[in-house]
Amino acid sequence: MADPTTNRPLHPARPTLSRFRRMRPTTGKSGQFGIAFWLPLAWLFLISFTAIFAPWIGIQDPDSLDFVNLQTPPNDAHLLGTDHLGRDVLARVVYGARVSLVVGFCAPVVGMLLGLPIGMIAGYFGGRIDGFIVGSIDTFLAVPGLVLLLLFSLIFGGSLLVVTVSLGLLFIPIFSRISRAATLSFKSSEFILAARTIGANDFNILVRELLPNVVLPVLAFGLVAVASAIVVEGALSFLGLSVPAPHPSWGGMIAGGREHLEESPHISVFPAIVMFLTVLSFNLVGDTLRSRFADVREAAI
Amino acid sequence: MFKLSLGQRSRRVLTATAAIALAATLAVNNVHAASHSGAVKGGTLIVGVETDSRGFDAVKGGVLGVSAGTVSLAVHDTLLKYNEKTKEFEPNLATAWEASEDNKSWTVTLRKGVKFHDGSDFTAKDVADHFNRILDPANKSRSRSFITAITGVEAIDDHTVKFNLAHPWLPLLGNLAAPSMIGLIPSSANVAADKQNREPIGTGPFMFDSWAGGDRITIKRNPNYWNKDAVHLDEIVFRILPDTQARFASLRSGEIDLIWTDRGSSIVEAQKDPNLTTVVRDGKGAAVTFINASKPPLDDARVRQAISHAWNQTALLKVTWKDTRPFAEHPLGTESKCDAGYRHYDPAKAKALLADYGKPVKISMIHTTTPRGREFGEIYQQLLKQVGIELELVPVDQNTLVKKVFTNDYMISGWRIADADDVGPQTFALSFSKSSYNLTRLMLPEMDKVALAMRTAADPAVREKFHCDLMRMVNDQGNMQYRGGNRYYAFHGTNTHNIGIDGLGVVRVSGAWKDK
Amino acid sequence: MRYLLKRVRRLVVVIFAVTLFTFLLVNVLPGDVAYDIAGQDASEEEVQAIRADLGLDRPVMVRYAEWLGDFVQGDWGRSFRTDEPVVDAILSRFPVSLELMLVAQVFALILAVPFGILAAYRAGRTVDRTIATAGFMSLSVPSFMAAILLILVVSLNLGWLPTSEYEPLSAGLWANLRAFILPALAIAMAEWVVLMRVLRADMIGVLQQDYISLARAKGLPVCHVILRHALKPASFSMITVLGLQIGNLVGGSIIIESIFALPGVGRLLINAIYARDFIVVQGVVVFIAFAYVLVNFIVDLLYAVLDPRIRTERADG
Repeated sequence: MADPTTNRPLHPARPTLSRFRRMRPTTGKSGQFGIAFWLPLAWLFLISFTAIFAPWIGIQDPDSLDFVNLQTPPNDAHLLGTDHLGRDVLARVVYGARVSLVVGFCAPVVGMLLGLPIGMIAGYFGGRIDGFIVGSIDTFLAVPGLVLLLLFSLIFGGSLLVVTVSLGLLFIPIFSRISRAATLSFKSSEFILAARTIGANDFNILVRELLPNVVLPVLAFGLVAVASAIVVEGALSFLGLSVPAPHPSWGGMIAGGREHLEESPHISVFPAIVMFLTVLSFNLVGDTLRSRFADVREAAI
Repeated sequence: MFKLSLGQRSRRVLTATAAIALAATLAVNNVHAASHSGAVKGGTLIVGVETDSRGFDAVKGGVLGVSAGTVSLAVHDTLLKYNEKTKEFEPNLATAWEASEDNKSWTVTLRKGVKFHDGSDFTAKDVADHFNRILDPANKSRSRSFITAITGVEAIDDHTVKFNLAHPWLPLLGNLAAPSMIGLIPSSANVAADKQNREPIGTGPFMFDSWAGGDRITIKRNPNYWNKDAVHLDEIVFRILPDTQARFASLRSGEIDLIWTDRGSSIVEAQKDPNLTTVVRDGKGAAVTFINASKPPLDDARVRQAISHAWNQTALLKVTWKDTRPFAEHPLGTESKCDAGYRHYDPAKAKALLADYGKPVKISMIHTTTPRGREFGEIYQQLLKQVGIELELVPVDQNTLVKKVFTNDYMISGWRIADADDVGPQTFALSFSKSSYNLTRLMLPEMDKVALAMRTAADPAVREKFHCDLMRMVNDQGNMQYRGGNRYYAFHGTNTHNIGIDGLGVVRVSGAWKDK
Repeated sequence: MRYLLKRVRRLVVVIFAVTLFTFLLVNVLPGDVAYDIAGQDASEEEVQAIRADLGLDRPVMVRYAEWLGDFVQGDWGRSFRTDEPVVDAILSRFPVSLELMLVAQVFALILAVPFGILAAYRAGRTVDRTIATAGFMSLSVPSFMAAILLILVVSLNLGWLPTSEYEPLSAGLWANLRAFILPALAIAMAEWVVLMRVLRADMIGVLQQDYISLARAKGLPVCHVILRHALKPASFSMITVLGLQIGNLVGGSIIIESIFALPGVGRLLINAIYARDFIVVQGVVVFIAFAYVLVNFIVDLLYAVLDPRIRTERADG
């Protein structure tokens, strides 16, 4: 998956580079999870918990304005200070997490649901079908991701649904590539041949035999995809094209504080720190899980 | 001994600085004077402008704006000049002007011996061609709608032009003095050669030299300028620096000599900086909010009036502009004595009006996706919530916002009344029921009557009175609210002198000079 | 040769599909360029007149066919708003985007090469793990966030580099480069990790080769062995990745170019989208797609030249 804000791959595995070895996990020794796994996991639980239960754990109203306390630095009443409209930054960071988490989890699911069958069909049938699918994906990738998101968001209006779905579409190439590669590697294995000799049709082979094997590497990539979905949502809301006002989102908060960076850096910096920690956590947890549960190479497309 | 001499020296420097500061103050107050004693000849002024120009041709270049206007004002001249102090029009390219008996035409005498940068003579034909080109509907000039009261311009002889009007129309003189696509006179030969847009030729104190798109525009002194003594610099470079903070940083480091900005915190900071001189000018017009009177429940005056009382302009000015813009009760400018019966922030009154209306109010508002647009929406939503109105925010980009307002597909939207010497043509179009620019769709016969009376008034005082009446009706009806008037700020180092702000916030740089 | 033909054919198909796709997308955008040209003070009639004038009132497919026809003949059209030829607009901004990406890659290399070597040499040890963790952290900073933080720390707090604006090369090398330092760093922040990982993986493989052990056994110093004998064979993949990154340059820096106000192709694109300047959007998208496909193509070609097996395998696909 490329980060559409810069179009650079978040991970070195790219189609044309497929013959490079993938980096082995560096977290702890195999067989046990190290601190680089548990700490991020704890952070993710904390963020998810506060986001879900925000109204019941004493988080303030994220939208109410206070024209008297504009841009106040962190203090007792406002642990992370207030923004340029006098709103509580902590409350907005917590409510902003809702957007990031919803998009972060749902967009990869959309991409997976569409990309997985596409990749499996391409890998299984090969030939012209494969050629067509691979060609379409190449075409899709030739348009910068952020441009597509921008266009979608301008056409359909920025809303949680639009952002999630259009971001999900951007995940199709990577998921279909992974599932295609996995399908290819299992296609000629004995259990498939066996199934075919006893007369199973293509649909049965795809769903009964191949799917259980293909789904694992795809899922393993999932958490890392969550991290990049959060990043991209951040970029989109940084441009003001994600969820509508006044709903807070991390990217939007960072953008909103930009104007006041000199006098009140806390408006931008706190959401940036929280976003960074969350993305890092998903990356670390995702990488650990991926290296544990999946060892399928993203073979050539 | 050493210490003493140091002290003496610094004191002398201080005195010198004070003298320069004084000179600068005087200079600012005296922008229109022809020449200055003590002015230094030569040098290059570097100006940081916010946006690149779209071109200088009255048809192809659209509307000039402050950045391109500043360049254009140094390259071209207007027929008249407006003196802010005396409130009088003064000669410039025109030496005399006179209205006919019925006030339906004006005869303007042009200065003799003026030459364009290419050496050709400035004649009445240039003036007539320029205006007739804008007025020709086939050309679709964006400036046309401002001057449709002019029916045609004739060149009587080489140095006399006649402006024919559809009805008595006082804003003509303001347009002849405006540093806009309308007021600035180009060479008609250059326009005909289709080169005016990117290589403008005028009669102005500076000649266009080069333009690197997105980067800079350079102009050089016109050695044959008709008013040579008023020009001191050899060259002016306009650097296109879109980021306000970066522009400001470059000014403070001395990389550039002059900038302008509308960013509140930069203005506040710059005014505190002893190494910077501030030039301020108030404009007319205002940022406004449209309440669409054709969309229920906004078709009920009480709902609109309630919204007016829920609106807290002071809070917005504080949050968004750090109080660097004037509070507007009408778009007639801070100097107007008009009492327009502004509905001040009063939640209790708003609630009472809503109670009288009796039904719950749920409306929506469009705003731009920029941080500023969002901010406006967020403030508006919270203010309306305080009086019990539920407001849904619909973010759209600028282009869509304009389209929605034009096609009557909105309930509430931000807009602006552009600064002009006389905003009457705009307020007329916004209020007159048969005008296609009546964007709030409030159509009242009594409003039409006042609007028409204002438009055709021949006496400035009468016009002003009707204009004020019109604005009082708007405030009463609540189809428009204000979000601050226009106030322009330019900043330059203390070594730069004689910078002024003209109408529309356009900066007048042509008379400037720099200490060696 | 057959392989080459196939690739060129695919390139044409991709460009065609991409242009049709974006043309349709951009055309269903709400609002249109006529409103932008007309501005807030115009009337609806004037807007419609401008639309008709620009030919925007005709069906989408007719306009696409017309655009494609001109495009094939090398005419990319003129901007609706500025009347600037699209080719000129892109070519005048391209050097900025290119320079940004090159400077970013240089920064990325400066970080990636030493850390990649070190990580490979001490693979599995604390140093390796520290570098990997640092890499993860660096990778988790989105470019727009990196940009804001760099402005905050480097320009505002330390006052080192004022968020200075773009200067052309004619203004002097340093004046020109200075404007690229922060934006390039913001991009390099994640880029170096990608390069470092690739280099590390390959370097580990190379270090296990017999000739390296032999060199070591001969008593040559470690530094010498790594830099002289191991680095070159180990950096082939990394250089390939580098090439691909540069291929992404145009679409890659849209946000960064906007934040730092660099007059590059990315900003041209985003402004054109906001203004609904279809012709410019179209031109830039084609340009980006072309760059992307071309660089991928070159990389593939390189492989084909180096490894004959791929030629046949690829030609099937």
